[in-house]
Amino acid sequence: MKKPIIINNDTKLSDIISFYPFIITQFEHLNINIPVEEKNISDIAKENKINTNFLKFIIEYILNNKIIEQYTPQIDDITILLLYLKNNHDYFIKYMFPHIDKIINKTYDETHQDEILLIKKFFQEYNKEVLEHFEYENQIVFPYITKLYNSIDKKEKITSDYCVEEYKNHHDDIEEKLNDLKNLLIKYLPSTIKSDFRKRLLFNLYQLEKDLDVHSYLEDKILIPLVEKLEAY
Amino acid sequence: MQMKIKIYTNSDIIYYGLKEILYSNQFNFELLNNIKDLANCDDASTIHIIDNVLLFDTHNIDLIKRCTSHNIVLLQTTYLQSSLQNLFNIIINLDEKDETIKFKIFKLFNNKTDHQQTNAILSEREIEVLKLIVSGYQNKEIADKLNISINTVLTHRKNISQKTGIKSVSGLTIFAVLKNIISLEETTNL
Repeated sequence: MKKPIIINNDTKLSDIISFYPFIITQFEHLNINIPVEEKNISDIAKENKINTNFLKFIIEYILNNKIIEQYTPQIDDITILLLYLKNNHDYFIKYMFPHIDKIINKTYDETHQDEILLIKKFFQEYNKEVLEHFEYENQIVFPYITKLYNSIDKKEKITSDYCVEEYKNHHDDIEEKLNDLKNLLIKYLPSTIKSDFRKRLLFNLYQLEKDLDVHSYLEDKILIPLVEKLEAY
Repeated sequence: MQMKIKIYTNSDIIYYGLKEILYSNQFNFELLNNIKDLANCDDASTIHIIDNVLLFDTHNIDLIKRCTSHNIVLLQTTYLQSSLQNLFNIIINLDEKDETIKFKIFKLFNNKTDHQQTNAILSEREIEVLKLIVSGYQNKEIADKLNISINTVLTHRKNISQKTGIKSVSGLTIFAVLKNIISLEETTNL
């Protein structure tokens, strides 16, 4: 049995990755250099100009789904949050979605099974919706937040018709469809489908779900409240 | 659910060959030399695979004609006239690849069990509502069609999602196709 890992300033990143290898993806979103050699959490935080408590918070959230109290979001964390979310979008758009799409298409081309065709259509529709959402964030929400954040230093008030309120609850749909797809694969897709298709797709959806979950948490529970504070200035 | 596969043949090569190809822990196999046993068993969870050499005896053909509710598969080892081929749910040819044979039998197996299981998951009324949802009807239209209130429609929708674990219309559409509630050609929401 694996021993649980204790997260503090001295915890080595190598131990964290070895414990839960999928976390490499989120470290990449923070621009953390891999290999990590012997560096611990405070080394990495200093090197990447990340608030140490924020780094510990995100690691705890990913590993244990736990929200640590030590971390209170700071206005200046907006920079790292935006970096993370933008990198995460890139990863989804350029790697994760095309990768899953390829698994489905390849299996369909090989088998021409109706069941795979249904999954293919469902995923294409899902993919399209998610990309539209990311596009909206990249084009509208993030530039707005950056402008708002920069205006604090200049002590000027910005005028905008947009406010972050509009952007809440955008994620529910994305999670709902992903969950539907998982249930179809686990509960209903018949045993006649090509043998490793279900497994391969599920493992990839697991990674996607985990990444999306962290993504939504950072946006809904940390970034939006911070931006609401900024708007109230 | 355990499924029984009864293989009617005089050839050990055919029996053991089919058993090898179809091997799965969902299946129980049985070798029978005489087709007369067919009449004693109209259990829906049994698939009968018949070597057509046994059909040279016309009494046997009459027997098969009487067993309309059975899942009967013809193993075509020699040519059988096409009017008789219609008596069977599916036909397997001797020169077919193992994957194809597996696919045909598994499909028959899934069709039979899925129908029973869906009925167990969803009530008749819920299946009716599901059909309308995946055909693109709105709540108000469903209420009018079935002569029930919108609230009842919403309760049905909630129960369908709870029972199946699927919330989106496109997800429910796939569910309905997989369970043979609608056909692939009828799907409008994908």
